[in-house]
Amino acid sequence: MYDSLLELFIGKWSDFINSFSPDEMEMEAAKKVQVLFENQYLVIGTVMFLLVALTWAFYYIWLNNLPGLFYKKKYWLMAGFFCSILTGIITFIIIKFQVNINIPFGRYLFGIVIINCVYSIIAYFFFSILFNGFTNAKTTPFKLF
Amino acid sequence: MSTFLFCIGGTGLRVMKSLTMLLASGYKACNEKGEDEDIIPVLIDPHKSLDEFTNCKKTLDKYCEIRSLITMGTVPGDNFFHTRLVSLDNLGLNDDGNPNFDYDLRLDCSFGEFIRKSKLPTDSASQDLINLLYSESNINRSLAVGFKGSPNVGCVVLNNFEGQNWFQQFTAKFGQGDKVFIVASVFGGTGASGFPLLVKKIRSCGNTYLQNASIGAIAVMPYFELTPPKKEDPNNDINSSCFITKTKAALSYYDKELKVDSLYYIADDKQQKPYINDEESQQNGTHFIEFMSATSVLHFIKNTPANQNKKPADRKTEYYSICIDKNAEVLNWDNIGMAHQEIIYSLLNYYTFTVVNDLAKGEKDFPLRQTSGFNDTFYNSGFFQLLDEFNKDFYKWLKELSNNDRAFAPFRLSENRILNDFPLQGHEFSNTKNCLWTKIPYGLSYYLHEMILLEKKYKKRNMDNVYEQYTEMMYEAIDNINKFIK
Repeated sequence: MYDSLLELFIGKWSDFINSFSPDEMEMEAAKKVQVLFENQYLVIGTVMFLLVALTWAFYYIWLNNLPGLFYKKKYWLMAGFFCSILTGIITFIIIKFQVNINIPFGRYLFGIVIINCVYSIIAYFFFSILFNGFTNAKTTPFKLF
Repeated sequence: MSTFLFCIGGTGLRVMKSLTMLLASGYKACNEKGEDEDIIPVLIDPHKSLDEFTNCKKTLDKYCEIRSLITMGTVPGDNFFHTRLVSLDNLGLNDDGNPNFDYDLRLDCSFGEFIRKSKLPTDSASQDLINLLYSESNINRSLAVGFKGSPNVGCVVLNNFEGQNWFQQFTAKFGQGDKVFIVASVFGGTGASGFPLLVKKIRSCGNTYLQNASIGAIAVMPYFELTPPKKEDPNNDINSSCFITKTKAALSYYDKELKVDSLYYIADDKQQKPYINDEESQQNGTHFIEFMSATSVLHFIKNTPANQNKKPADRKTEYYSICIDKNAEVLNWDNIGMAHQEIIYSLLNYYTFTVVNDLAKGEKDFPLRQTSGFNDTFYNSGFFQLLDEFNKDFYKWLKELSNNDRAFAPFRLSENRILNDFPLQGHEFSNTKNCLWTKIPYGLSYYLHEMILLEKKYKKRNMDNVYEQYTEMMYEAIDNINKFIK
């Protein structure tokens, strides 16, 4: 899911690798970047889902059990926004630390961060509509059950 | 079980209005067994053009209409408007709508015409006796504006109420276990004369239950002064300097001639600024004494048993006086005395309700709009138009109490209908919740959140009447938040 979107919006990995030709060493390093990226997809996906679940719990279970008119849509949107930002930051940190190769791959880093942010927003939306009926929260945005 | 509440004269009407406000706040009229007691107000005042009469009647009408929409003929739970106020006409029916509290006592003639003085032969002993007992102004005064502080006129005019429709209904509908309470001032005309007459008529009527009924009364003694009557207005002969003399005369008469089971006394000498002496309009704001007098009705209902073992003549009168803790110019939660705090708490909850109700209408995201049907259609219904009118009267009533002399000002009254501070004067909300690193400030959100938490419980009850559900939820939510003060 990450790879196809990265290739769609940022560019094909093969183009990225070929962009370093004829320097074989750098091409090898670029291939390693691709492998290391692919190795992190599960981690960043898991992290994204964990953060979404935490945000959902924070909003629906904790915040909505407090007074303060937190049922308002703006608070639900704010929770989603912060979840997305946090996902982006953590994705950036994971990739930055795990893909420790000395060639410029900033575009892919930026791409994966944005993709994970967007995924977190989508996941937060689905979590909200699927699970808010199981909590005491009576918040209304996009309630299915 | 019912208590027939006779409110005689201007003070009686004012006390009735205060009682209506207190009952709207959910304060219950419970008898000695803890059962709910219905109250049947009977307003007796021949001065029908008086604003106070119209206001009192309108307030009662609104109360009954609102309550009938909330209860729909069922027994209400803990709620605002809990106690049933029912007109004599509606007593025995299951419908409290369209009540009639107006018994036409208006007399459009002078006192001289009423007693047919002109028909008496001149120079007769009767003429001489009348001239001895009544001044020229007594004789010529129109009865359409009441008795203008002349009990000697009132006791003659009011002496014929056996023939009146309301008295006949009263004697016919009074049953076992019912009680009577009379509210009257003893320093004026209508109340001072009507009170002993009514007791005598009750004790001598044909209904055995009524003859032996428990009767309570509050004798409201002087609590305000009037500006001296103007010389250019010869008809204005109410002079507050006579109030004490009149009171003494009335009390000495009552002491010998009047047998009631519970007699309450109340008075106040704190007023610094006298009322304007205008018998026509009597546009004086609600006074703390009128409000306190209203509490005596509830005290009587709770403490005096309906069924007495002895005949009225053999029973002893219980005497009560209503006291406050500190003789302060401005009375509030802290200085009024613990005995009255429960009443203030009820009013606090109703005042909170008036504001929360206003603000909740504008809360477009409030989840209960969707889940419980508290939506725009609901808020735009006739019920809310009535409630809003009543709540305006309630606010005005509280404002008048807080501006009068002595002032009863336990609340922070907000003209702009905002709820930034806890409404009880001198007290802060102590149950604020923390959210991350900040405290959630006191306000509307606490009450709405409590309603959200209560929704599940109310859904289980499957209430058909959404007005009952709404007011009862509000009542419980407000009580849950405000009860920290008790």
